[in-house]
Amino acid sequence: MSVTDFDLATWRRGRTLPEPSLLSRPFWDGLAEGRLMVQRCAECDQHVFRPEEACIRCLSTELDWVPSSGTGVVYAHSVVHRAPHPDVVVPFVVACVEVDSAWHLMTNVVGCAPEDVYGGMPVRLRVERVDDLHLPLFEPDWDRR
Amino acid sequence: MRPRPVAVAGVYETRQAKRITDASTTGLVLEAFRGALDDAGLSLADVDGVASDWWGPGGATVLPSSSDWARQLGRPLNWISDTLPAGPFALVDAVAAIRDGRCSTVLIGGGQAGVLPGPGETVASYTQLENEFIGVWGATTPTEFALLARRHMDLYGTTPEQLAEVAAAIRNHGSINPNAVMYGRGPYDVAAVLASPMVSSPFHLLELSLVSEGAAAIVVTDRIDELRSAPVFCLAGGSEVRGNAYVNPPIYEQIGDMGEQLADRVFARAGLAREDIDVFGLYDPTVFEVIRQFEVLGYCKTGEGGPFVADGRTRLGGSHPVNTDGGLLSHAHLRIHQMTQKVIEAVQQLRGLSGPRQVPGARTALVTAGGPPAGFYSMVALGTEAP
Repeated sequence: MSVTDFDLATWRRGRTLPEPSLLSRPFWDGLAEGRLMVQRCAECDQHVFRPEEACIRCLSTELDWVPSSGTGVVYAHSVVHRAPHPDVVVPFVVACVEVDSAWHLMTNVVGCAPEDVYGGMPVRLRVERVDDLHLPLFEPDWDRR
Repeated sequence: MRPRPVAVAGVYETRQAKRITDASTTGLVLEAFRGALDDAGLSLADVDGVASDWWGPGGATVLPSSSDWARQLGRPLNWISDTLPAGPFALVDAVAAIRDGRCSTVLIGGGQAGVLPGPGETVASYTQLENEFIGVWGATTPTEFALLARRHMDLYGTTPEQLAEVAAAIRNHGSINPNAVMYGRGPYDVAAVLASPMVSSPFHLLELSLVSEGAAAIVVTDRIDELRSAPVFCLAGGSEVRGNAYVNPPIYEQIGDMGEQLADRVFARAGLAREDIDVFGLYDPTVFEVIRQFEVLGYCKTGEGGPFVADGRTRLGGSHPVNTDGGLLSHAHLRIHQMTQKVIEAVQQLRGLSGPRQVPGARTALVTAGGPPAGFYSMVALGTEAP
């Protein structure tokens, strides 16, 4: 496996950007500082993502925003050859990444060939700025291979 | 006291096609409603309940849009669906409403026409995922199912060939169904399925649902003695929801067991053993869902769904024939009203009217709808004998 170039302008074509809400603002603000933030329940320690008003295990409303390590493993992935919009450049990798063995988010794994991605692959956060947003992409964690 | 017999008394499907541009959705649904009533030997004047959507003038208003049909049908309705107004969801609720005496004859149906994009345009709007944490990554509904399938492959060794066998079986059923969108295409074998273009790995084009247009409807009633066609009875059914369709990362260990506890309840209430089911109408947006369902429905152990289907048992002539109309892969997919189409094929099988696709002597059928990424699942057991 080797490093491949990633071109943000190409990646961005045809993509619909997220619209942060009041509830999710700390997640997006954290990315602007290079940190991957997640809610954690003050009562039961459950990690909660996507952001919620109350814990999905114990219903406590005491949810704290805490930084994660920004590293994880590919939980599952799919190489997409047919995109939602014809302008999106294919193929690309949609993955669920398991962060800190505790919670999952969907992302794109970039920086390597799509066929090199596998379940259990170590990955790390790669923040890319698009307009006013900072997006949580992931790339192979070359240090943990 | 025995429960009041309630049956699916009439079914109807309009023409099904990739796009229909010379008719409106409402016009096609009206054709399906009239056709289903005619099949039952009932008339519009008998209808006092509706489960549908409203595509006509004025748009849907504050109540569930089944209510908007009351004006069009020119009569008061005593029951409307307030869950998913299609397939097993609506059927199970309609049966309960009829048994409760709230209404007597219910129309369930819907469709779509003139709404799908043409070749080379975007994918169908309802396969796009717009959630804040999903949409930007370019995932469509097939990708959501693909992530579950990939995990299942990693955990249990499920193979591409096992997935492809499901596609070959179901598409070959559609190949001989004159009303299937893909009628005459095929037959396919595993190699042909695996040779089709990759869409979202591990799924190839032939392993994924169509999007298509048309309409379909069924009539449910307690007026058993007045019917023109053989009634098909609802033995038991129910639903399970996990919420939040397509907005969370689909994690197999969290949602992959969807339907397991529901199946136990439905089989127990229907008084059926697993082996009693003659025909399966299983939700097949992707081939993996069929493998997953044979596990959660209790036909094999978790992780053994791949080998279970690999011997061809889901084909016509096999021990567990699945989606004999061609399913969502080959027959049609009318958005949520594909659920109603699965009931229609089960009814036709139990009436013995499925022609070259007939499962000989079929007396019981199981119909399911919905899957883990969608957050909802529903099933109904149907039979030729009143419960």
